[in-house]
Amino acid sequence: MREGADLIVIGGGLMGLWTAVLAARDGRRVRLLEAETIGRHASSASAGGVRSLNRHPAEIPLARAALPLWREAARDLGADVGYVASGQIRVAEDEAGLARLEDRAAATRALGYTHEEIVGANALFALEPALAPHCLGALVVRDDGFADPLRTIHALSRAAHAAGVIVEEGRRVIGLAAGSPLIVVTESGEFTAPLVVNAAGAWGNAIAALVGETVPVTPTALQMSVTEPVAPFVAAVLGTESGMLSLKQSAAGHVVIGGGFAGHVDAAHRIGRPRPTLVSENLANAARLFPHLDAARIVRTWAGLEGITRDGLPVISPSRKVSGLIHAFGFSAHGFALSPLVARLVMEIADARPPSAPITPFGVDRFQPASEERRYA
Amino acid sequence: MKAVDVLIVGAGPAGLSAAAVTGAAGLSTLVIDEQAAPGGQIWRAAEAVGADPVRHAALGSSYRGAMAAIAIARQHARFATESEVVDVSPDRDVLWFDKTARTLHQTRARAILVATGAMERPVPFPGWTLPGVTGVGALQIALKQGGMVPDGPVVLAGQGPLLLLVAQQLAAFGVPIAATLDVASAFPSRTALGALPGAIGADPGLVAKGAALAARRFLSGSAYRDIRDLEAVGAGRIEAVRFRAAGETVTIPTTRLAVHDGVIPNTQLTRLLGLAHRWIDGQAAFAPQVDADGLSSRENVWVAGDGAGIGGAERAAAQGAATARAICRALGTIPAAGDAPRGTGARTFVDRLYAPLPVSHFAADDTLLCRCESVTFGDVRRVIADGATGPNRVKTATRCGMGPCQGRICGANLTRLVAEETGRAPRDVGALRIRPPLKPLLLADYATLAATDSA
Repeated sequence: MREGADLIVIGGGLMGLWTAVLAARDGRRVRLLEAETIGRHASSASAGGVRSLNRHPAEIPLARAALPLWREAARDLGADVGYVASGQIRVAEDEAGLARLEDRAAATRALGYTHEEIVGANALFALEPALAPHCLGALVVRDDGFADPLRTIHALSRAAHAAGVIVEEGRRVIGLAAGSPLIVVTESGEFTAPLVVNAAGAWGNAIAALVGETVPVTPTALQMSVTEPVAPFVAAVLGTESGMLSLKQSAAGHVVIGGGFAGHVDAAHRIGRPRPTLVSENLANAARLFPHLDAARIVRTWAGLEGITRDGLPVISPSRKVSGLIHAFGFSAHGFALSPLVARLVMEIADARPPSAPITPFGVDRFQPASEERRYA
Repeated sequence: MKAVDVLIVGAGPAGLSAAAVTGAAGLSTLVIDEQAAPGGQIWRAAEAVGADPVRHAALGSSYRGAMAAIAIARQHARFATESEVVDVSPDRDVLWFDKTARTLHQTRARAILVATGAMERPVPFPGWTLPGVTGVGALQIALKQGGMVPDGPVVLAGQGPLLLLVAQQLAAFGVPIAATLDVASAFPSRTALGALPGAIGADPGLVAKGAALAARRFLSGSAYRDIRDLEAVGAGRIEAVRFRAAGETVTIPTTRLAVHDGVIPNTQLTRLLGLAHRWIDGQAAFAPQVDADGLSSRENVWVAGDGAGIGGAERAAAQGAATARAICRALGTIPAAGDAPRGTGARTFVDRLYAPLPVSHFAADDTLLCRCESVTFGDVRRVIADGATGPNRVKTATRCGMGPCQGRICGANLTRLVAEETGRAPRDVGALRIRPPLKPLLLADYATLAATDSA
């Protein structure tokens, strides 16, 4: 006995949940199949950055189009997602770094975008007075921000229930068969739908492989640390040209520190673990920008599993092999900001409507050997 | 990175006896312990107590065997006291912090013995987070550590052997006890009495000592039995304790209330290590799964003592030695011969006599479950009604367990509350995931590892 739906979402992370909500609100009967529990991996381990700053050129239009959706998210979902239009800042700590940021700003302008802005030391310290005095300037996007990943997941989870999505945890997909409708096989039952969305995150390539589509994805474990609450000292999300760092302060005062350091991946147990030496390096980067953080206590570190594609760009694409299957995975450590827009793009593909941002660079069949590929953090 | 054969976490009876065995067998042995001196909780500050006639007279009976065990272990093993384990990788790289020197170390161990012992079961009730309210065990630690005597009458509430013992020890220090509030009725349950003959057979001395202590409390005149609706009241700190007994509401003014409902295995490190755990019904707690030798579900990670299931100091020492002999064999060394630990003694009787209270026994909907993040029983019930299926979903929805204590205080109670609310068994509900650092660490201290340990 196979249970039917209008649309099946594989994966209960941000991409899958947001897609399920949109689809159900369109009047579709939606079933979401999650292998473990909602938001278990990259989604809840995310730093929550809503960033168009320093994006790969192909992702800039998506990141810009996603911003208004974040501003609307709380009203749209009927629950706080902790979104703050804080701005994002990438500081230069030396002349060479400042020169790189100026080149970057010029290149972005040449593409016709105006959101990235170079600021000098005075303007930078006016924005963030607590910054260490050696900082020389920065690349700034004033209307970027951040949100709270846990609140976002729970808001989406509630919105999904309210929209009538059937959310099933502990349903690992092990088979996918073409046809009309498509057949999705789990370890405990089969389901059918004319539309299936692969939002399986770090395991999205395994789902794609079920229908013979090969996407090079490396699982990685992105490290994060958080301090106990400290007095407010920073407004924006801070990064630097001199080392990997993403730093922000929550409304409650916790300082969340990440930046792309990769921990241990235990693929068999589907868990990640921080590497102490890299946690240490990450924290040293934070204390270089804000020396007073030396006296803050670290209360928790973690590493969530995430899939990095070979070119560091996601797959947002109809399947080239199976009609009715749509891929949205491999967000390579910068998917959080895009998630509300990705749900729209997926539904536009499903309905054969024109996409609200260009998705040609994210085709599932783009991975040719020896192409020029670079990862943007 | 430095390397040792055996790294032992915890310098209580289990860790000390184990260190003596592995060290004497020629294995390099490092014992890491949070306190300033070896001894663990039961033998806390043993060397200092031994040198202090006042403390020794009042507390001495708890310290039987301590001095010899510490002296032998010191001969055979290296001690890192005032040191905390921060993280352990699956291949046994131990990250630990020396609080005195303020340095982080990484040590690779061929074998790890977790001997982290027991912790007092936190008992939530209205007002339990007011200053002046502690666990009975915490009160005893103050006595042992520095002979710090409460400056006024104390109210003791709850149940268990430790409560009786501390009542006696407080009396020896001359501290007045305003009242003891016993949650049990005057007579042991039939299931408890069923285990009594076994307990007398296994450890007649212990049963006699317990009976004498209990009788003394019961006859002291300030004892209330079968109390309900326990509450600490006060503005800013405790001013009085309120409860119901024999159908009446009683209010006793006090500045100190100590509460107890037994001890449970401290599983923070064994959870961090990802070991398999079992649920012990009689102790209403998780303990790591170990085989007869103390081997956990992970290669060359061993657990001994109360951390593997509450059994008391004497049994912990025997288990530590036996597990250490198994470690020696696993590492290809021949240990000195020794006896296997005896049976569980009077434990079954004690567990049944003082059967743990339900987690919500005293708690109202607005009672705090997680004191770090101010999450109440009602908050947890609401997110469970909203679809949260286990402790980790509750954690992400409410921040329960995300504060500085890393769920050490709320974790076991959260499992029991989720079980109670969902009608599932605690073993199926599971436990909070534990993240490093095990205890909060200054950013400056964490950030020095790359510089000092780049080799």
